Amino acid sequence: MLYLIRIIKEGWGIFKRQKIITFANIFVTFLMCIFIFIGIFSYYFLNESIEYVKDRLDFSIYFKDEADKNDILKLKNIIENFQNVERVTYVTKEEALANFQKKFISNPILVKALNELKINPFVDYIIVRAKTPEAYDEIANYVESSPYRAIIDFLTYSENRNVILRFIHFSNYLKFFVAIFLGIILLFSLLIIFNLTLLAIYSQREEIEIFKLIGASNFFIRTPFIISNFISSFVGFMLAEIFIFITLLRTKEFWPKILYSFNPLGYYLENFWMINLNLLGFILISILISTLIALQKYLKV
Amino acid sequence: MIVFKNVTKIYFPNITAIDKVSFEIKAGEFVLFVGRSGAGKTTILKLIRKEENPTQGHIFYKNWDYHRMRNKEITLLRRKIAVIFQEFKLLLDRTVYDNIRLPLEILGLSPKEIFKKTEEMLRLVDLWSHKTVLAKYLSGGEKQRLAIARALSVNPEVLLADEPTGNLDPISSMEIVELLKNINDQGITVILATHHKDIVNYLNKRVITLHQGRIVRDENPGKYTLV
Repeated sequence: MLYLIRIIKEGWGIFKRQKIITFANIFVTFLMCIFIFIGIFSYYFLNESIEYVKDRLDFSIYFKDEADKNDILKLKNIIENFQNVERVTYVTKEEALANFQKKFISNPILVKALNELKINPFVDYIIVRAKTPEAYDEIANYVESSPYRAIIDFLTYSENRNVILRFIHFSNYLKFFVAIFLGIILLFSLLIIFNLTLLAIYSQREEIEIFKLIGASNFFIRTPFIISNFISSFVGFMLAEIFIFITLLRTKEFWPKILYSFNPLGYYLENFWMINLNLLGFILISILISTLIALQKYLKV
Repeated sequence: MIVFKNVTKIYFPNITAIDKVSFEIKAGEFVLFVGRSGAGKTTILKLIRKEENPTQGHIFYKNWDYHRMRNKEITLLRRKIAVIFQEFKLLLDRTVYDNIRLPLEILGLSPKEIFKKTEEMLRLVDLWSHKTVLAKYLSGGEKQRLAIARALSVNPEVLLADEPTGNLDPISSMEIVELLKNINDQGITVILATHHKDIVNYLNKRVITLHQGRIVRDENPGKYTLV
């Protein structure tokens, strides 16, 4: 125990004495964390954008007034069994009317006009929500050629379907590039951490030699460097955390203006442990590996 | 105690540092290695501490055969054979006290034992009053005395001194030599590499003379003549 305390004290000593290296380590870890956060939030933003656009890609089947409810339910069942179909919702004409009235309750002109009609102008319809946009083509093709075509009035399959599909394809590519960007950031971070560790150890090579001279074991020489690097990286990580948190807090009103469902602060808090434990784990493992590799040269017996 | 049997050390690509060197040093002896720069003095000291491995031949320290030593044993060997250098090799940005404290911490001594031993060592080399001074602010002679105190703090059986007076003025040099003599009187084997004629003559101990990596003379006290 005493031995471990002494090693930790040595690590703390290196952290305090090597001011320039410590500062560089903190700064690099800070920047690295910021870049990784930017990457994570970009990825999240793209995901939200795609979801938003997918929501705009509505696919509804409107039935003729005389359509039999049993036939509608049969068709609903068939569509539900299609691959990549997330859900199928059946809305009766009564429900459609109720929804409309609820939605426009604050618009007396519309409500009055509807009441004057004295009939329900809505029809039964089903809303299809697929997991992939491509699935809509498949469903549309089936419906058009199925025996149920006779009870169908019309299909709504967004007129801007092609534009939306292109956007989704483009976004998927963009997500791929963001993932590559994140990978490159991680790789560069690893290289920078490695080189900083190398630099720290190089500047301490005489001290390492003296430690060997006075009979220190490799464990005693190696561990203080790892501890010192852990401390400086942790400080850099914490500074980045504080910076990101304050930035997200200050801009929380701004992001929904760009995309109503984009809430980086909520996303950050919701995934706090997942994001931060992974990030911290990555940093600590990188430091451990780079210190072990960088020290190898100086610890040969 | 220390035995060299036909030891040769060749550095890459083909530089022979020592060539078929054989000698034996008994416990408690004071031995001087003399010779010009490049004669092989430092190589012999490095081989004794197993910082280098011989290209040919065998080296023994007591019962240890250097060819068969494991890493743990090497660490133990280096604790038994302490060393001081011309360039001191101190932790310059730490205090005089810390320079002695650290090796004792590595040995696992308790804080009380560390304090006692550090005081004893610093008093021995007359640096106790400088205990809170950073090592970088000491004079050359004080630095070497501190290096000796550090080397002795771990109770070594052998003290290697590689040109310890090389960077010192004549007065400081004689102080160091006197200190080494006292250390030897306490039973510690001292092996001193030097090319200072005055020191060799003053000490009047066993002298092994090296020339181009070979032993050309191995003389007992009082019979030394310069090459």
